[in-house]
Amino acid sequence: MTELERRLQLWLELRHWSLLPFQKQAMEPWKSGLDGLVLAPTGSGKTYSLLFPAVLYSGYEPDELPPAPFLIWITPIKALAREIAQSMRQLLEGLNLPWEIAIRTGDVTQAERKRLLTHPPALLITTPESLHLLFGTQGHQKFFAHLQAVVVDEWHELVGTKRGNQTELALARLRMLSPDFRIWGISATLGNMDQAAEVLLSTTGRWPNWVCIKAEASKQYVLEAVLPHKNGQRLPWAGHIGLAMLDRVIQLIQAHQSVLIFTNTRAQSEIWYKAVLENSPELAGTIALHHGSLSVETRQWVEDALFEGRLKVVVCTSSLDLGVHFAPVDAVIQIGSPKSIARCIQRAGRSGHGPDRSSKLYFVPTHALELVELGALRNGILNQEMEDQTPWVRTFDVLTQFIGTMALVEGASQDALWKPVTSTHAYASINKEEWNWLFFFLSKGGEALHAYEDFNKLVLKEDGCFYFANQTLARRHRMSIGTIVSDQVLQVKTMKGQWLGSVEEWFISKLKPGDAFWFSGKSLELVSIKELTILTKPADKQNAKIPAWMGGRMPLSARLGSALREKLNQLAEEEVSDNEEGNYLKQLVYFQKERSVLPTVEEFLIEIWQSEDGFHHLFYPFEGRLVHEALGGIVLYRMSKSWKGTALMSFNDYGFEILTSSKLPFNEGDYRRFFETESLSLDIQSSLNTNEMAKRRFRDIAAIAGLLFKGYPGKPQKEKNLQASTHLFFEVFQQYDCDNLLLRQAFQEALEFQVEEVRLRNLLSRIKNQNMIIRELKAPSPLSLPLLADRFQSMQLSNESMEERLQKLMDSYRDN
Amino acid sequence: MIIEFAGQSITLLPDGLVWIEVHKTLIIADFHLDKAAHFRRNGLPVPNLEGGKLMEVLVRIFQQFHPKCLIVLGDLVHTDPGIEFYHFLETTSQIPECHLITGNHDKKLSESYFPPHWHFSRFLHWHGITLHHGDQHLESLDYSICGHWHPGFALKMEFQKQAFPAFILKNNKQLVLPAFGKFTGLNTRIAEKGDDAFIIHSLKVWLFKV
Repeated sequence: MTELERRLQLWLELRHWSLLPFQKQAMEPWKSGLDGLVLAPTGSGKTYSLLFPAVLYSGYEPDELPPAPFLIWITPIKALAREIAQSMRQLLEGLNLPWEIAIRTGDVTQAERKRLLTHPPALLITTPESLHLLFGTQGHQKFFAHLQAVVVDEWHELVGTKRGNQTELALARLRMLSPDFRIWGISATLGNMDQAAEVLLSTTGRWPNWVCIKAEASKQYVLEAVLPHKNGQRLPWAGHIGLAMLDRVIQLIQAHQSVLIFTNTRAQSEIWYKAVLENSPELAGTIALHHGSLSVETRQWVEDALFEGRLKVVVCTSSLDLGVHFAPVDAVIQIGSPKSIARCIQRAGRSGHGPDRSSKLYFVPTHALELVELGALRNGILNQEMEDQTPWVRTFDVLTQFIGTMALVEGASQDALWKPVTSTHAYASINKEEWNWLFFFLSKGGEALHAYEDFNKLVLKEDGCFYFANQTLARRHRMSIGTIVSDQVLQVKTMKGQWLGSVEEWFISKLKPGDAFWFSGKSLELVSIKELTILTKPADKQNAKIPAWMGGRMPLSARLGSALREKLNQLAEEEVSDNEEGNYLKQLVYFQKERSVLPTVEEFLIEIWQSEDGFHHLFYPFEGRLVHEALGGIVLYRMSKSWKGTALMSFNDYGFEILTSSKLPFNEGDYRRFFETESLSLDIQSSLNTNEMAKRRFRDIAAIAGLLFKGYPGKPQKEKNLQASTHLFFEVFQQYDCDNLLLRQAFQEALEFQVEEVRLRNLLSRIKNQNMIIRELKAPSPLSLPLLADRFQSMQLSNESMEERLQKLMDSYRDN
Repeated sequence: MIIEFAGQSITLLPDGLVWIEVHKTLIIADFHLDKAAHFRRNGLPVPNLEGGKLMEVLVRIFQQFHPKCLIVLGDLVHTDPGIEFYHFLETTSQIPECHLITGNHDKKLSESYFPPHWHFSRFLHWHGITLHHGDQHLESLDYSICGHWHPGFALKMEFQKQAFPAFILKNNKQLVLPAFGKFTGLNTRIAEKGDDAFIIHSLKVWLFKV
């Protein structure tokens, strides 16, 4: 037993701890230099499972000071960095080791950043973005020359995002500086675990040699529906806020010590916060709000207060999905469906920490159909049907940014970088031609932009490396490193200058000075807007508006979609349990069957209903919003071969609606043709919206690749202008540079993530084998109501040219 | 589309210009030349596209009508004159007589930038019509033509509202021209009840009564 092993044993004994089985398992493989992945839920001791071996087997003597970091701990969230640092500190103090720990995230001050390179710590905690920033700093080569291991925490959060690609590139870069270090990941269970490991470990050169360590997670999850008190009181058929259940939620709050209320959007969290506080004013001071648009200080305060048990209620969004675990929390309330099995488990896991305690989640349905989703969630958890996190590949925007970062310090060499970059999973398939194009684009602006100095960013110097053409361009690059692109936002401040958070430009453009709005749980009056800052004071007006933020609504996951169809099938066959929840479901089944049909897994339902708005044609694939959006466009495109007109299309997670002013002249055979798999790819291309979808995707791509500059601190660009210029770039590339890799990436992303082509194809083959039932309704069915009532997202589609439509309008105009 | 205005026939062209055959005169408003360059100078890298296209349209129209006189109703440039402005001077060099009625955006233009066949004024009384930019309120106007407002007209179509650039004719006496420059917004509040809106789209002019 080594000295350090002895000290660790002592430390554990003092705390009455013993190593958990999976913590023991991780020791040996680490010691022998292997790579691996630890699968463990939050709060299970996963941090120590890798920290123990990293510290024990570093090879440094207890009184020796490592010259540079031997361990880098990458975390996706800044808030988590503090908690990890705390665990590290406790361990190092316990083992009496004089080693230093440093945090390098976006929140760290300039002075601390400078100190980092002059006084290197032994252990470094950082985020993928900050790591890339370090690569742009003089002297980082020496700093990273003594690495023994990199741990990537919460890998499941990163692997399915562009930050995952950024992490892969960072690992490849680190290997250029320190050829031999281990990589370990910590992850929650995913549907595609092996693939997630491959993405993380590709750059080691040892893949597919790896070790998988599973913490025994036999955790029980209990999902309980929150239903109206009075028997016989109906659940609403449609809606998305869920305030009908406010009384029951208040009862739950009173019955528990500390409660987390999860909502699905930031606007919904503001609405619930306001409603709870108005109902129970005595909660003031012990209730707080937490969402991504609030200032870091506010969020940190809420997290600390929750941790210390000073808060009774926190209303939050997915901003609290991850990270620190809050021991005092003893109940979790979920408003509306969490839309994914993994997210549901993660949120449920926020209560009942500890090995033997079950996690309970109270589910507040915002409309009756969500009870069916609840049933599907239960089945999904029971069968361990976790979602996949599909890794991104060939993201040229991230790669463009990386090459720029490499050009900041020692110069980007086309030859020296080729091997490291193609050793990653994301860029393994790129060819030399594409690689050369990236350098051509960065140095010459590509085919379209070569005439503009601002896009001739890099210049080739005599040493064969590319460098930034001037300091301004280099500075701009440094400031825009990262892959999270948010809308241009305005900062909300009080008259005294206290920063409250941010709202998106389009919301505030609807307000005039003097108007009131709800933000961070306060009613604020808009005093003035200066540049991109909104000055506010407390308002006494009652009817304040609630800001809505773009995005944030998660679509139904594929796994949950399939669980949902199973559940509906059970209901159609009248398999309903005899309890309160079951009674509501029976009601739903009864009305659906009375007014229409409840489809089994063998049936595909089309409903047609006439209202004063026109003819509603409703289709129910239960495949999630995005797939429905794409499918609606394709169906309409296919219809256009035998029908001309203009239609309004709406979609939600259950299905989509085509609203027209006259009934569509189609029979079952026609509809079968519209849902065929044949010529799908071609029809996706030709149906109008791929261009629009790609354009939407291109906005982020342009920002990540550095085509857009969001402005210097204190002098940001307005969203309006940024948007205008992304659209211009898109059009310029389409016209003059159609082989542009970034443009092609936008179309690829649209197909994979917006259209979800694979899911769409599976859906169409499924429909092929289903019986098609077309029902004309006298009154809307329960399935149709959410679609008819909430037009969150609708788009107008037409296969007539604007000229034809103007002519039609002109004719009707003359007739009057 | 030909309309009767101030006792003469004037043609509203689908590119947003006015052509008066008897006087062989072309009237255009609001070019906002070098607007993209203005954005670029302020750190927004906007590629330059529209300027070139505008000149193409202009050349096509010159070849079709062979105008003797060109009248620009202000806002020729957005801020500083740049490359687009010089292209414009080149394109119009063959027109015997040119007028610029200066607009609120033309502050940085000086007469010395122009060749001698250019004339400058704030207003022009011309064959019974007052030509002006449109940014100043004028008392007791009889027939007038102006620009400045970038007028558009929103049509309620099936399931959607769509705004189109338009000529707006008020009381049969005041004609407001759409902006000729493409990098400009649309103001749909100019058309009021009783006005005529001449929408331009798909190379046609469409009349709608407001």
